[in-house]
Amino acid sequence: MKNQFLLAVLTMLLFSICVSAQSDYEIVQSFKSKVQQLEQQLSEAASLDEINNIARDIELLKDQFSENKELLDKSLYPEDFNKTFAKLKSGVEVRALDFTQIEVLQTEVIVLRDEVDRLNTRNRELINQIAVLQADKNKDVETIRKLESLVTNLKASLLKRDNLILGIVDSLTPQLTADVSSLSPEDKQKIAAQFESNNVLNNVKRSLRDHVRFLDVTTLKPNDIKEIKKQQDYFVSTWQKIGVNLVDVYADKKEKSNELKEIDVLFGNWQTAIRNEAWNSIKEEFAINNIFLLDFKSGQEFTVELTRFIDEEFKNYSIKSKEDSERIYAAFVDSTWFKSVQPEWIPYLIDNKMLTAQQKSLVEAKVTEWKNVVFPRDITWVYYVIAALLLVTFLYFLLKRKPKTLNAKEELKQ
Amino acid sequence: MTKTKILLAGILVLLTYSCTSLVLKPADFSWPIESVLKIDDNGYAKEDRYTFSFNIKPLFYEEVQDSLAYLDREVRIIRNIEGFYFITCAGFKNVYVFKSSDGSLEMENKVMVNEAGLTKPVFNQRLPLIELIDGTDKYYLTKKGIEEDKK
Repeated sequence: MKNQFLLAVLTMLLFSICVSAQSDYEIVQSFKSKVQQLEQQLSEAASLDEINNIARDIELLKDQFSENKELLDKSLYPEDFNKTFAKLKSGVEVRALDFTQIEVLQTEVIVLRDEVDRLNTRNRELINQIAVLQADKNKDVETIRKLESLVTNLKASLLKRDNLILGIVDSLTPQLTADVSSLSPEDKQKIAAQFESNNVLNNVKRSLRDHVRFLDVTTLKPNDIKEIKKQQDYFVSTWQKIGVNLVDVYADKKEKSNELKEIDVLFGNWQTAIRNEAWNSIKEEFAINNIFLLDFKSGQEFTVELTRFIDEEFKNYSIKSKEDSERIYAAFVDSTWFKSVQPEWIPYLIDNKMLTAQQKSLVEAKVTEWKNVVFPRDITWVYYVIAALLLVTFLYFLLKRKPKTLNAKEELKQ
Repeated sequence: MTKTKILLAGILVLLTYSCTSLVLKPADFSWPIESVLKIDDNGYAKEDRYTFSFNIKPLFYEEVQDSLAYLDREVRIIRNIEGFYFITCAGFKNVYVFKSSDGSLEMENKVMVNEAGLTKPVFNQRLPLIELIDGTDKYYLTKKGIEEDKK
């Protein structure tokens, strides 16, 4: 404030000196220098208040030099008095708009941050409730319905929180769109402070952990996993865009650099969890029908485990009762393989390169082989057909021989 | 004889008419403000806005009899409405009036202003005159010299 007053006094003094000297050249030079000074202040302004002060100084300058308008119009080639002020005012408007936008975004960030905090609590509660219900071995219809509803709510809630976090990141990114490596250490510090005050890194980490935990406590269908994968792809691509710049911003802060590395690891965990979720859900599909398989985490392990189970059934075929073998076959093949695994999961696995067509054919061939063992083909009808054919042939020849006998008798009569 | 005289006079009139040069007027050559030109190491003063330059060394020789006196100096120059250039410099006693010629500036007049030399001279355009201020002193110039009644 004191400095501004001093500056104003000096300006007035300089102006009065110029006027008293009555040198047109000095007046023009003084005007040009003040305009340049205001332009510089505009580009360096750090708040809307500063911009407003500059706007007032511009008005003051216009008043001070209005009596020299004619001289300045002739001297400020290729501009003139009015054009110079129009340019300054347009600069003020542009910079004011920048700060207005930043203020709106900052308000938006505060609202989003509160919402994220609320969703963090809600998601934690939902995950805990799901875990309790999932652990219940004797789920009745009501429990299953409640569980499904909770899972749906949690899924929507996780998605909403992801979008809010990305919203916060979006609101802060105007400062990250420039070439961050060219920013001064002070500017980098400012950006880092904003990310820290909005708890961005922690929220991203919490979100990623919750996603992994959600996948841990739920059993999902291929369509659900597809949806989650799509969500993950969007989250990853958006984060990658700013992550690169954040590495630059936090280059000097080892602790924060480590946090960024941790986020990368958590993204990896989420990706692995999505892959594992598919295998676990397939295992769960079999378990629902009392087919208990060993863990598998890849197409190779899946093929080996299914083949092993069927081979085991071959070995036990003569030991177990026929009814038992048929019951296990029906549970495996009819109720699980043909009902959900083959139509729903196999296309998902192949689309996501988790299973090869060759591995799929191998399992299918094994299933067919199993069918032939449990339900051997009945070929009695073939014997009947052969017998019938023989009978028809015999009758044919028999009927064909009769007329010849009659003719022989007639010949004997003659 | 009289007829011959009339005929000759007619031819003379026609010739005079056809030789009259084309004149565009009025023309205003005045600069709104003076230019302050830094002289380069080679003794050239260059005006950017009106894009012309000239060798100033002879002027310094004329004023101080030292053609190297231009080093690190600034000259002040302004053009009046008629197109004459008024040039001076701090320390000069005179204001020099030039007119443009074939690829040169040709001195029209040398106006003695202050025997002790000018301390901080500045020019202003005060149509139709050129105002010269040196501290508290003011002079009004034309190509012919100081307008005494305006001083």
